Amino acid sequence: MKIFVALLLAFSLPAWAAPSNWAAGPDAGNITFTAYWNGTPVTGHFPKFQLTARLDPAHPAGGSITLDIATSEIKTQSADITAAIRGDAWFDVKSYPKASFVSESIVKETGGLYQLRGELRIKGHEKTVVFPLRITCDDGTLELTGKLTLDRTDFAIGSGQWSGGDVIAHKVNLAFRFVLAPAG
Amino acid sequence: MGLRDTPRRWGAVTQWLHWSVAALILALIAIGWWMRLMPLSLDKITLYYWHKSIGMLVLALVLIRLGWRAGNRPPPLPRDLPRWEAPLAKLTHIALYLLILLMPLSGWLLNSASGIPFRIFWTIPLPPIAPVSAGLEHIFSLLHLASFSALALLLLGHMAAALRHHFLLHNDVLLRMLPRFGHRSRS
Repeated sequence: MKIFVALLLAFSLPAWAAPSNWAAGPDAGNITFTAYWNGTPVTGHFPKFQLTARLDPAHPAGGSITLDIATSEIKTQSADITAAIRGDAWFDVKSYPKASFVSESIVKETGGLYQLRGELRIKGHEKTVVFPLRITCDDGTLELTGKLTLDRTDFAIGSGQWSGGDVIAHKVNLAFRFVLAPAG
Repeated sequence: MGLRDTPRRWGAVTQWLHWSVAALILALIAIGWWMRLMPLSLDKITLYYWHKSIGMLVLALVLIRLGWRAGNRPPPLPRDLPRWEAPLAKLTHIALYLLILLMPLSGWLLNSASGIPFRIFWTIPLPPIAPVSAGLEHIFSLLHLASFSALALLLLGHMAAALRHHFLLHNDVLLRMLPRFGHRSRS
């Protein structure tokens, strides 16, 4: 019996035991956000991104997740708002076309939940963020979902006259979902 | 002055609606002009909010006005008008009502197609009446501008006609839309 279990473990090792490489492109997920304009939600998304991960959900300690986002492609529900927030006072996409997230630690909690900690870099400003991440293994893919709330002023998103929170709230809710496929 | 319209003059309700809509339309034109010229800023956004809110208020007031008009017989025009003037006056007034309706409606369509969320006077959410689309937004903005141009012309004609009635024809067409300050009501 012990041998049988050992064999079973040995054969399943290639699939799960070692950290594997994963990737998700823009077709395999979404990054959406909700900002608040005079108390009314305005939704948008980042349609272009690339996520790469080295991750074993069972032993996440040595794993890492890296996400690159093309902020230059940011879109909102309104073409007028989209044009405005690509401008200098907001995402300044001419100078900062990309944002990135690089994980520092992935800690397993219970029931498919993990605590993800990493450096978020937007518009040249860096901030450490910690948020819950759900990982679901399904048919050879990994699904990563989660949400977090950011303060846009931490990244100078909406600077100068826009830095007050009365008309356009400081709080921005982010939600994401990535379906990771095995990579190299 | 009674509340209802009489054969001699417009009643208090009609006068109140007429002059408040007149003042609001002037405010809308001033704000609308100003907000378009401003560079993107918080003040510009605030002006747009006021413009849209006042526009929706005018829509409500003009609907009340039409309802009130349906239940009241307007004082007749002076009998000694040249033959073509009475039909022209009637036509102008119908066009004025249509354009005062079309302005907030095209603005509402424009706001809907832009996808910009909006609450009337920061309280009542305005539901969209058109899908979000840059193409539609452009068409509705042209419609809003065209109805504004037509309305502006008609308003100039309306004001010129009122002054002409008062100062050149010496009839009571203007006075019967004005409260009689300092006079005791003879009704």
